[in-house]
Amino acid sequence: MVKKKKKTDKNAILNKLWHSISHDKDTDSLFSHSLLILAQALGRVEAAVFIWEPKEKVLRSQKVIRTDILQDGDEVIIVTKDSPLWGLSFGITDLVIDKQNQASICVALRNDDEFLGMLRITRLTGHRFSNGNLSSIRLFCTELTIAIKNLKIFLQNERHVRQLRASFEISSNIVKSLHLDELLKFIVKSIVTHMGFDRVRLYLVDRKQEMLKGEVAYDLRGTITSLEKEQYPLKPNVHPLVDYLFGKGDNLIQRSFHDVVVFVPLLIKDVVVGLLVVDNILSQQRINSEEVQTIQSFAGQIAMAVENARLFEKVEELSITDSLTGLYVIRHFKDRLKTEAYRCKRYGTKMALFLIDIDDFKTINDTYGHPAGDKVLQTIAAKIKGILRQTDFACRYGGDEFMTCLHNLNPKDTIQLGKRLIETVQNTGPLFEDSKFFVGISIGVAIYPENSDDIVKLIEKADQALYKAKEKGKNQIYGWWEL
Amino acid sequence: MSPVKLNFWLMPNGDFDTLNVIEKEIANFEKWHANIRIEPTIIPWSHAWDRLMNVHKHQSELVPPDIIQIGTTWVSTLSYLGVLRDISSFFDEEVKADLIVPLKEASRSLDSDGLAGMPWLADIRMLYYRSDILKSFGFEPKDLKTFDLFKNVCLTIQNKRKSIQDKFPFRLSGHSEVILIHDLAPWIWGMGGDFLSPDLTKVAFDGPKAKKAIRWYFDLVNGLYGGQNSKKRYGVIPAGTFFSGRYAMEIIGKSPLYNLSNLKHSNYSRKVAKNYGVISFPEGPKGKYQFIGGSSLAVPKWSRYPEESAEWIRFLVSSESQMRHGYRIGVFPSRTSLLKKYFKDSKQEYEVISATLKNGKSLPASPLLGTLERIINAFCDRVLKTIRSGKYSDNFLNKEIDQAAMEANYIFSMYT
Repeated sequence: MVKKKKKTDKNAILNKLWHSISHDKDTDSLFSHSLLILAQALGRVEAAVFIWEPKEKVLRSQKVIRTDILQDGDEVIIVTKDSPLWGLSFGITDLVIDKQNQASICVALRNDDEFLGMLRITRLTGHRFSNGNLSSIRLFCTELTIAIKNLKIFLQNERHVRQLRASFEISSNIVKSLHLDELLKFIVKSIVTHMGFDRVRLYLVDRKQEMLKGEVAYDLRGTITSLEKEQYPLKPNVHPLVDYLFGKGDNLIQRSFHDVVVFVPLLIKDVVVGLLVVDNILSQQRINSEEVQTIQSFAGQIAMAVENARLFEKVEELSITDSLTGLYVIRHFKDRLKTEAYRCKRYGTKMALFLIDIDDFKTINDTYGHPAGDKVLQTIAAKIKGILRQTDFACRYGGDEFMTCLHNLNPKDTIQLGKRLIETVQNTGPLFEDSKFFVGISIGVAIYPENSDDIVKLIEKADQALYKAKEKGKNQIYGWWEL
Repeated sequence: MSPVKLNFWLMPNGDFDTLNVIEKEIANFEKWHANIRIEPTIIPWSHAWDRLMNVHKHQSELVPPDIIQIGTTWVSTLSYLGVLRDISSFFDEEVKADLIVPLKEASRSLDSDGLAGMPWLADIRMLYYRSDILKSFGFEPKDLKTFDLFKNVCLTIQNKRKSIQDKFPFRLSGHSEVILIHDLAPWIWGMGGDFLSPDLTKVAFDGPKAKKAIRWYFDLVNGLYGGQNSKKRYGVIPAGTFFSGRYAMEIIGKSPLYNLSNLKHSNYSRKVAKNYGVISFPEGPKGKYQFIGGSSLAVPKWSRYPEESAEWIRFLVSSESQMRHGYRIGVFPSRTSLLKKYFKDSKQEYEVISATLKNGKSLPASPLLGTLERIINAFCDRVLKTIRSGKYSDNFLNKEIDQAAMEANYIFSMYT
């Protein structure tokens, strides 16, 4: 009768165990539930689940229960050859009874030949375990082992799904923009957001200047930081980041932080175009090999996207600038003019429009040839650029005409500035070899919105003023309001 | 309306008794707050950081914690990483002004300069001694006044020991006798050194003053634990044996007299009360400094109920709860005004702790403090292991200091 009751109890415990832990999706819940059931079945015990770490040959406790109080474990047992747990860890035995305290046992959690850990149970009453107890505990451990193994597979799958999702999200973000600045921000932001690193920094190689230049960083707080101050010559022994590109970065110090700082070069056909630096320095969380592989797997894509964006910017630059003078082309100038007009209207500011014409340019071309004419155009363009402030801009309007937009100038200052430009051009001296030809310019000005709040009309008015300047003898400036 | 359930993560402040102790506080709180229920989860110090980071980065918990207990040395890094709320506005000015100053400084948010943590339990390190043991070796408490006198007392007692049964002069801190950054700090500060440069951009523990202090300290440890001396001991000296007279001195941050495990052995307590004393710390050539740390209560940014969480924290730092809790687990309250009441039975200890607070220092607030702590702790661990193996030398120590400094500077160079 008693025997039967015990058997029923044993089955009931195992059923309860299965029922309880089959839904556990994390180790914490699995161990907590298992230990609670065990403690309920065995009465006053202290029990702990240990997980085996084969590399370090240590058993690390995960969860401990004393009577009915659960706690995370923080005990680490180093298993040496003379330790009684050596046999348990290496398959010689499945049960170790403490010689000094017979009320304490360690039972292996073993799946086939793989040792996963152990369960240590100590009866607080000091009573020894009966054979019946031991057989129940063994069965309990078998079930727990299967549950741990299943959970491991489940968690591994979940991790892979997370990595895949991160890869997918990051890959999608990489192609989101063709503008380099925007693209770089997308890249660093999506890596931090989807992979949970403390910080990601991105550096690009500038082959023209032979420099490694800092671009942008993003951190866990959601802060985007410009790294433009970080610029290192591409020479060995100047900076650790550059050394890394030269293959010399793997020194002792970097090795000691290899699990919290990862350097990933961005390569296209074995040519380095940049460097991605991922770190968990502050959170001190180990960056595991799977995560490193994930970053490496899209390093090529990032490099490609960066190169594409660079090419796109180059093409865009070419499409908006005049190849001879480096000034904007008229189409882009007009677009910007519209934007500036909107801004003037919104903030109540004004802008002056200069229409500049080179005096007697046809004579230069006819007398000295087109290369000389080109040289004149380039020189005048450079002089115009010289008077522009950061917010001003200019374009090549036609063959020998230029246009500038200058912000916040009153009529008096506008005329003064124009006169200074005329003087500068005049004082330049002969513009090409073997010539005594001095070039002059004439300027017509109209001010927005005072002279007109319509861009087309504003240009017409500047043209009328320019006509007047030409009519009055060239090499001078006229404002539309002076007509 | 069903009450709000707050998930409270705390550390094993009193080992397995932590839950019993905190549940008493919870019962007191819930009596007056019918709309709030506290659900405690006890997490060991060694796991807490990782679990917290996993919640912050990967939303790893189904029910994330609403209130967390954190070490004061964690506050800077966690607030920098955006884990913690600024909770200053939840507390009266009177309470904030009453906080032990180094603890308050260490609990500041790097983002807002407000409080990112409310100091809860204070770790105020002082030198406790058994006067009866000192006397049996011909020493008095005044012989512990300076660094060199203290060293002399330690080494003299050690050298007189013949077997493992003899009393030890000194015990290192922690369950397994370890050396951490907190243990090293007062010796470095007392010799005019520091861990970081004043602008917090690089390390200073490889400077001449700090190096001298580190060498002085590890020479002392080597005298107690190294070479032949290691044969006169079993692995570690068990933690509670100050009461059974196993060793003469220890530097710890909580009063041995009020320690929970000792209150259970009141016979010991009574005997020890007659024979024990405390000084704040021996004086170094450049002054007398003590490490003050502890733990704070914080509300993470993901907390579902910040108002209610603050209510629970307000309760835990109230005079009544601080006194009850402090006595039950043997730690000091975090409010200056409560210390006199706390030491009502030990005037000497109160006078010493008052003096200690004047010279107390916390570690500098830097987001890299956590990483610096890890590097220093690993360095101390390597040196201690080498000492225990009997292979310690001046040359070895210098190399280790330089290596640790290089590691830390490398990390600082990446963040400044």
